[in-house]
Amino acid sequence: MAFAPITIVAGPITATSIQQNSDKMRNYVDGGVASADMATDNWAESKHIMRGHYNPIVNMHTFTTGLDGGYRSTSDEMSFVGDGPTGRGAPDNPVDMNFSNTGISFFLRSAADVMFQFTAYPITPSINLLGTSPLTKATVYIDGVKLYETEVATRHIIDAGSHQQSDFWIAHNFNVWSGFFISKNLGEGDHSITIRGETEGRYSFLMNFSVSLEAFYR
Amino acid sequence: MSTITTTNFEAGEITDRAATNTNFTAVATATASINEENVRSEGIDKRQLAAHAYSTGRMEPLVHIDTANNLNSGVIEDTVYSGQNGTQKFELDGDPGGLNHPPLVLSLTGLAGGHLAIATGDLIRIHYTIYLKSHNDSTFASCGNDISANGGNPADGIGLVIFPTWKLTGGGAHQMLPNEVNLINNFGPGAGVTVNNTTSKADSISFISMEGAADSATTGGDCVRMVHGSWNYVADQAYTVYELKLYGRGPMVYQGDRQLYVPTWGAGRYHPDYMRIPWAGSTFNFTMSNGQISIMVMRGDS
Repeated sequence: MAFAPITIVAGPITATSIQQNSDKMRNYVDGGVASADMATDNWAESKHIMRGHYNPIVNMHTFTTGLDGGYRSTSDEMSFVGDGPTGRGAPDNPVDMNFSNTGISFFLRSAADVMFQFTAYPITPSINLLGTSPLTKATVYIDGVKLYETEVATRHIIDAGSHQQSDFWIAHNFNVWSGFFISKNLGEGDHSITIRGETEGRYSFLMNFSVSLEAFYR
Repeated sequence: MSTITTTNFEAGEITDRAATNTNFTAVATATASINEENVRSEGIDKRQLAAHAYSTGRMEPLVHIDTANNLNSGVIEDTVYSGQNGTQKFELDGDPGGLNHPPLVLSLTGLAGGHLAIATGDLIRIHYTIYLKSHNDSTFASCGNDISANGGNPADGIGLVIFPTWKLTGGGAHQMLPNEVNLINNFGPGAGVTVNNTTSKADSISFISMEGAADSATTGGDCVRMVHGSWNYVADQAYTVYELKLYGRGPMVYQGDRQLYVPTWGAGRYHPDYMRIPWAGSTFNFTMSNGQISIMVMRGDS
């Protein structure tokens, strides 16, 4: 409730009365404000929330309500994984390796709902003596945990025939990777999200890739 | 903004109780009408923000966020949807032929009131992914099968269409998202729907190319293709959302004047004498794998 002063009565003003009022006002300001004291309208609008802090080194904007950040590859930049030690020989349990620069490390002040999105243009170069259509896979990892529901893939198409190797159809064969993952109630503390993958080709490159993160505190 | 104006006591001045009371009454009056302008921006934190509609303490700007996937205890399951020709939708329910794989459905009935309440002006963000692993036409190419007569053939825009739906009443049927072209109703063969930018949009719809390798000696219809669809919409009215689902429909052809069309497969230009799509018969079997569906609702001032 609102601050209620002690009414000073007739007669000499005592130091005690003044002190009591001062103490009550101090206590009120120092934590005694109740929700009922607040105006009922136009209290906290988004325009009153602080603008946040932008960290250009990691491209992360920290707000009262959460985080926004990410990474977008430069025009000449590519990311890649090789087939060693990942998918060479198509093992049953290939090792996933990080696609470089696809990770985001971030700190949550409290538990949050986090949405991660990515897009990439994967290419597995044609190399002689690769007799099959080598498969490349990628998956989102959070804090080292593989999230199978995000798995994407592409093949390097080797067409033994000739008739369809024309511009009329070949573009259909290239997959553009895009996906997302929502982590609900991700706990307070440091976290990392990244894309890892494996390839049965010699290399698999990512061009024009980007990753983004939105975190909303609970 | 609430402000306090008082008369200062000067050193050595003799005061009386009236002046003292006036000062503290001014403080009392001011503290009863504090508003946001009394608080500096760096002083606003979670305590000052209005309680969330679901009373979970969630902060603005999020009203609700939820997601679902179709993993089976963390494992990707392949589910085959057979006999498809684009004339009708098929739900990605994981259960054709009684497979009992997990469905791709997001239920919101566990929320207060049994649904997600969306207000006018809310931003609705629906995201989904679904992986078309393969189909059974091992010679498929959108320009026709791999014969010399088809060399240089311009490709048709053939693909599997994916679209989300939602249920807005507890016992009702699923329906298309607002102003999205209707792919729920059966039509074809020999018919299609026309997309426009007003009441028959294709904003939420994804079109998955069915190209694998157009040579049976390699991988044929092994598409290994993930599609990521999204729908961003400012609610023009209140909605109560009970459930989200994902459907497939196809193959369909994008042709003519912005039309999603269902031809008679294996006939006409797709007859074995011409493009030969499919190589045999007139239907397709689609093998679908891992997928997700999610909804995020955002509100500026709750």
